[in-house]
Amino acid sequence: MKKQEKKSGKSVDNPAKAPKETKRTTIPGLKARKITFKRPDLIDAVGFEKFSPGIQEQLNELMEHEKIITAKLRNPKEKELFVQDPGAFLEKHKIKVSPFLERKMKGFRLQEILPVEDFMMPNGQRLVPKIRINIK
Amino acid sequence: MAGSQTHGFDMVIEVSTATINNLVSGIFDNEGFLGSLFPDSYILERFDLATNFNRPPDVPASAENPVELIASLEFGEENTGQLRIVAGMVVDRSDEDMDLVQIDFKDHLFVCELSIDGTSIGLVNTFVANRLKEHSIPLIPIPVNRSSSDTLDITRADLKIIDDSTDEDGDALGVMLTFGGGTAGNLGAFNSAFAREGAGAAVAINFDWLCRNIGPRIEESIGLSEGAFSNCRFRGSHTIKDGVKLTELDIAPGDDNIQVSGKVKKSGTCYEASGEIGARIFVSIQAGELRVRFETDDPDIDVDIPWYCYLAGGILGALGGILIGVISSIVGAILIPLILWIAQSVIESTVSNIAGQVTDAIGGAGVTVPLVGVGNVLDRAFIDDLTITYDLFPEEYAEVKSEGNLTLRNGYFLDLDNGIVKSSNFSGAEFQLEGTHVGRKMKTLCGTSLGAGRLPDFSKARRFHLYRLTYGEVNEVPFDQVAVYVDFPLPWIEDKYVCSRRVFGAKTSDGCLSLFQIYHVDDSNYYIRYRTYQMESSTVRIVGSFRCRPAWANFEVAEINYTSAAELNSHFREKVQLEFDDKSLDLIDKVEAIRSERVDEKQGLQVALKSAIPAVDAKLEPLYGEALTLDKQFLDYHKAVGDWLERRVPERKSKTGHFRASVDGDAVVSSVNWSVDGHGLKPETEGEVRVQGEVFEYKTSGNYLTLSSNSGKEMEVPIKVIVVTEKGSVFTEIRCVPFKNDCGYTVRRIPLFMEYIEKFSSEFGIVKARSKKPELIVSR
Repeated sequence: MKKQEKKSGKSVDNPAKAPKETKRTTIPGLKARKITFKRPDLIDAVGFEKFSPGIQEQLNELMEHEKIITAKLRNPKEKELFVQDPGAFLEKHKIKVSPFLERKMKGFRLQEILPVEDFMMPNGQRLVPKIRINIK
Repeated sequence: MAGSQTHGFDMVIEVSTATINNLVSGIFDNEGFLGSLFPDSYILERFDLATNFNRPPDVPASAENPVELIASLEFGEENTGQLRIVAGMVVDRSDEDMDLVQIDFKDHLFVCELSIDGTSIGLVNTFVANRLKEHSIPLIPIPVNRSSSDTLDITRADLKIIDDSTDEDGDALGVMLTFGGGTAGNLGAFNSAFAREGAGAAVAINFDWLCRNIGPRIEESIGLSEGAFSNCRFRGSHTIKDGVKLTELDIAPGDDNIQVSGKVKKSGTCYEASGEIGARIFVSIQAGELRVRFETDDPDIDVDIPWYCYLAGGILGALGGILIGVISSIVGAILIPLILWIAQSVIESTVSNIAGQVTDAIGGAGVTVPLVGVGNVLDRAFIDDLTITYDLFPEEYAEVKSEGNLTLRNGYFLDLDNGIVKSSNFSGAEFQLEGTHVGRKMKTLCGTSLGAGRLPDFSKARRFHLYRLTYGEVNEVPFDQVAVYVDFPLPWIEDKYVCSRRVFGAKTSDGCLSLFQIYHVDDSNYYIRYRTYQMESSTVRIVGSFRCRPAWANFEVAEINYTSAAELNSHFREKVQLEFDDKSLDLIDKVEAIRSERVDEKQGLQVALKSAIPAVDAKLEPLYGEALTLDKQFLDYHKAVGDWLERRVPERKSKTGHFRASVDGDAVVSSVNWSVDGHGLKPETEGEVRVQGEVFEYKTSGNYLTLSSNSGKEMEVPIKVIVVTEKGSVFTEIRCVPFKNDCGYTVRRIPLFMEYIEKFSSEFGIVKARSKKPELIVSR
């Protein structure tokens, strides 16, 4: 547990060093490409470093389409599509992703990953949070 | 709408005409006050009083707040008469620590008309009017601190007779209170009574005053800066816990509730979230306790996520974790306890304390002893301004000869003068319980007369109520006035006999007035509670005690106690169950009605009974009928967190006792001499006297003695009075009056919000249930 915290701390302080640590767990002699993260905040938020450098790089490449994606997201219908089916959104706008990511996106079901718990009040009332997601 | 009933005053007490009539009747009867107004040749035997707040046509236009009292009189030798009095109701501000609401015969007697046997006798009329002008009737003493700026100190009381011009004609005495930091409202605007729902008295609390009161306490408890929650509104950013910031908080009056809403924000890597929740709080009296219940809206959660976080988080499976973390930390850990804290710890505690304060004020705690004390019980509470209703009644004032509970076996004899039951007839017995089963009757014996007419509940019936009965026309109490025999089991009534709990009056063989109630019946016995009043005779008593001045503002907290939610919930459950059992016995009229219609089928009677039972709360299902509804009532007021109580010790002030030599009967007092701890006090003087080495200031004035001291010593003060009557009789009374040093009192305490959250986590926690369908909105 402590080790994980330490690791995580390093990643935040100097994200660029994270792949080097990952490298130790890969096949000796195989040279990792150096990734310059376009969005370093992702690393901590989604446990980025758990994934292979290849996947990290594929995600990083997606960031190169930021202008197109953010422009399309101004349209509410496109935003809805993005939230419900990001794979279809990217395909519609001809943004290529690797077969691995494409497969992952097809398996993405928002309803399944949403918190599915209500809160109980002491008077027995059940509170169902209304979640409004705003993609920026 | 807030303030609409209080017309700008902080608080308004309304007392119905019927309640004032009961209070004045008690005062008229106490110590033969009404009888003492007449010349010796007129011996008043009984009276019946009617009080009227409609402005009589024969009072001067300048007369303020007139009240009309019409007493029907019965004198000895079968003379009857009527005394009509119209006098002004005023606030006496002569005591610097008290505003006293009273009927002032001394300076505001507008009409005094006496007729005997239909004839007005001028001389007697003048005699009565002059006697009357020596008195005033104190009704409600209000403790005041005139220069205080504390929101809990009453600075002034005003009054108005509200001659209700609406169809309800709910005339009432209105007592308007202004608290520290407030200003008096519009007295002229009180032209109709506020909604009391038939209660004898009610207190309406202006929401603005409530805000003035709870605002600083909420600021302190959450840690907001001073004034940040003024007018019950907060806008800003204040970190509560784990990076969750409170950004908005509002408490506002609704139509029949108090509305609370709060908004918090939390941000982290890849998200910015805000949560908003609203609730409506309802105040009510449940099983004698002031309790709140609430309805909470589903919380709204807004989560802003950058597109790349959403994509990466979604694909990699981290999005759900982020959302769960955010929602739990916002809704479960902060918003829900915030709503509960405001409802059950802030609003409930504050209103409960106010109810206690008003109860003490109406009851006369800490001030001059009124002629007759006022008892009260909380009745109902509702919001439109926040209103609490009370059932007010005069405390027992007449000397009781004998009282208690006894068991009267079938065939046995009962003596109400001494509370004796015997198997055979004996001298002094009033009743015999004849017959068996539903053929039983309580038959009067020689020298006893039974009263015909209705009496109030046993606990509230007083001697003057017995004057209104007609005696001697009936000579037995038949079974059907006592109970109904239910000859098949009902699921919620275990007893086969359902008692009417009707109260009966009688004149005993010794000539005393007595009231009794058969509260339980079985096959072999009647179980009776009774109270017999002493016959009028000339005796003297010392009435009064040392009392602490109320100190709602200046005090130190001596002790803080916490009672867990489990204990409170269990206690509440027991009380509601008791009330339920008690109320189930009040169904007699319904049962009788159904029986008279000969509803023979068991099922038919059960259904009819259930539908006949009134709803306890309009918003709830009927209390009886199904166990489920009882459970619902428990659950509605279930607490997640317990209550904090604090014991307050007021700043030491001199403690004062007002004592009166109470002379019963028709004796005319010639002189009164007081002595304290062996030291004789001259009549009509002021000075100092030492009691066990401690200095007491005294003042003697006729029947009255006032003693006060700053001493912190606990002791008993021996007081003696010698009364000499005009006929030369001498009465002596000695009483040792406790002078205690403990003026502390206990109130509900509003805990710090973080204290509350800690208990919330340990006693309740974040309780989750699986959701069938999470509601998701994509922001456009």
